Amino acid sequence: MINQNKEEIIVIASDESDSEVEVIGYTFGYNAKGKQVDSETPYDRMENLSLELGMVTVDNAAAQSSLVTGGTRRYTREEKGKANVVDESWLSLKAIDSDLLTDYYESIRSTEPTEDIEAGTWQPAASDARSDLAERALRQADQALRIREASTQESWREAAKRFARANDPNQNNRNKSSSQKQGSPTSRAVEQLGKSPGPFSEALKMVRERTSKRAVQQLIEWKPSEEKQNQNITTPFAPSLLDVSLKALAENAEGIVSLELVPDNLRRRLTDMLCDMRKMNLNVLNLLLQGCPTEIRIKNCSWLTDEQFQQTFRNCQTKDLRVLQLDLCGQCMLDFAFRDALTHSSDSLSRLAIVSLRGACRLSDSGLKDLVMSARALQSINLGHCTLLTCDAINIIAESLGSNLRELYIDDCQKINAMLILPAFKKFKHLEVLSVAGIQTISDQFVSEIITVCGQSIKELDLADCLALTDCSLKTIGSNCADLCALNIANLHNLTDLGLEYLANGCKSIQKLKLCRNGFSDEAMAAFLECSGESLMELLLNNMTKVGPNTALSLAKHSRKLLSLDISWCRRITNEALGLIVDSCSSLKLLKVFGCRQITNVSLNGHSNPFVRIIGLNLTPILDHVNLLEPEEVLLRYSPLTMSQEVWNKEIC
Amino acid sequence: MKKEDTVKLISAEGFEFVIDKKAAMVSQTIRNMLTSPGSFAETEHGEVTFPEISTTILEKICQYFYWSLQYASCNVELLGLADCQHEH
Repeated sequence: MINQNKEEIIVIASDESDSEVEVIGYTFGYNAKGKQVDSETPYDRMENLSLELGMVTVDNAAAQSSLVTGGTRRYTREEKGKANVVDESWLSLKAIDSDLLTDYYESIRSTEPTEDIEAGTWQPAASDARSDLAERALRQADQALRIREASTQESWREAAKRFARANDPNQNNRNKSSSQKQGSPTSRAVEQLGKSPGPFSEALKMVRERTSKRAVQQLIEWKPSEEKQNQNITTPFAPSLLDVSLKALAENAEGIVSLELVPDNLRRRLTDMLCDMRKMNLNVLNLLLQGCPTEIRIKNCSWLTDEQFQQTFRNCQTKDLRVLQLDLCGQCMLDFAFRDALTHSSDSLSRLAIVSLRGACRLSDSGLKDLVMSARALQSINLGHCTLLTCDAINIIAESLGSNLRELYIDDCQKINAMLILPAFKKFKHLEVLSVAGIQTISDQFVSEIITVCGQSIKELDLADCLALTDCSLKTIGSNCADLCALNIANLHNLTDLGLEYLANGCKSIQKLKLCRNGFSDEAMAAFLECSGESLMELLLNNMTKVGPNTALSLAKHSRKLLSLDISWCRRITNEALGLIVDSCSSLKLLKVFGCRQITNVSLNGHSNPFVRIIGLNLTPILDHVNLLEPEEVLLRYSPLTMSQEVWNKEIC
Repeated sequence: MKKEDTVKLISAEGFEFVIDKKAAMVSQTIRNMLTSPGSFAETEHGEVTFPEISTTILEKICQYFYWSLQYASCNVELLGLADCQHEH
């Protein structure tokens, strides 16, 4: 409607009852009538867009006729024939952005039918003349629009490129060609599924039979429990005294005088809480370093500057230090720090077994060399996101630590080229945990080479985002790693059901499986759970679009030990399926259902599992659960910490 | 408070705290001591001694018991029955 109060808008007042006859201002130039057009107001944009673009003037005869026939009806400017002559706006393409154009297009389309309908109410004489003019105006508008469209489609294509996801076909072609060299094209994979003998194919047969007799949806018979009001089932847990005390300590950390007799696990929890609250500072660090600490675990050192580091660690007694965790230590030039502060005496880090420097983005190969040379007893190194490290670093680690190393995390170290570090990996004979997530040069060949070296001992593999991997890697893993406990194959879209078969036949005791955006089918997933699902404790089925009722049935039947389940974004899991899973998996403590709009309160409130926490739908706090399932005192994840021979000799003799 | 509803907790220095049995049951240790079959001396007299816990700490512990009971009961009332299932 007309903004009568605004000074900027110039209303061409030929007919006051007319609402659409407003000049909208554009930010450029003058229209043909010599009236200055001002900057537009967004309010008026939609209605008035049709008026300015590409209309031609018609003589005043039409205008007068409209006056004559009275103005009970509002009609657009084009009917009145009072549009502007073609002005610069028409010719200057960059003036109109695509939003305006789509609005324009819509308004053109929307005005057409109304005109037809309402033209009929007019008295015939005037309407004929008017409709002719209207038609001519419309035709010209259409022409203008078509020309516009062609030019703006170019600009839209440019804009679209910015938003496109990196799933281009070139990459897929490349992957396919390399996988053909390895010899496993996907069409053959589908035929081969379930043909080779083994527990997986039997399970698959059973799953298929199950669905052949009755529709799988009917197989899931679960009704929400009627006793929703029964309070005895769910007793809300008050936080323990330990939690309450730690929280009080964290909130008043300035007043802490000493952490001397506090055991290491409580120190760790306190430091974690302080880091989360952003209250971690130099004072607390000094408290932690007092005496002869055995563990220093700080999960967020982003506040720590170079001088602070030098100051505190220079005077620290590190001869008993077993664990050093300085994650996110990006401000310090760790190269110099290690050289000066920590390694001033020859055996200062002699007992250091576990070191974690995730996110230390200024750590380079030489700094790592200093660290590794002075800490000969290292068994676990976490260098995730240390982007300056190259394969030299891995070679140094291999030479000094070799078969002592149990855990190596080099996820997202983009400068490390997988093929160049293969010779170094020959020395890691007892490696138990390996994380190479995010390194794109990881290929099937790399996986097969390292598995031949450490396949007997490897227990945890993290291969997320290594997009070049195919079913061949899963075949290698399945046939050689019988003891595999944890596997992360998120975002590997080249894997097919055949790979899942290899995994199911080979790795029977998997405890943690993380799948995300993989293309496994419902039946294959169900068959996998039938064979190897008994020992599963943590299962992530994030964004697995094909997973559905078959998987739910198998989960309910077999996964008694499951503690944590994530079915976010799996849209095919219905309420009944979810209820069945929650009620049958008696150990389930954590269930994540982000993005599952199909799950309603029917199952959320109607299940009868008193301990499970369901996160992701109602407005429940989503970060409380993060440390729920972490074990308390963990040094190495899969084996006890061994003392090296030299240290043993020194201690005893 | 009747005698049967109460328990006595004795600290290292000999201070005696007399609290509700329901409050004491918040602690699994005390609950086991008082309810397990078998003849603990504690079951008979309703007294538990903690020779390694000092008085100030034992006092705080008793306060925690009562707070925990209040937390649990107030949750159920205030937050409604349907929510308490996935409240924690």
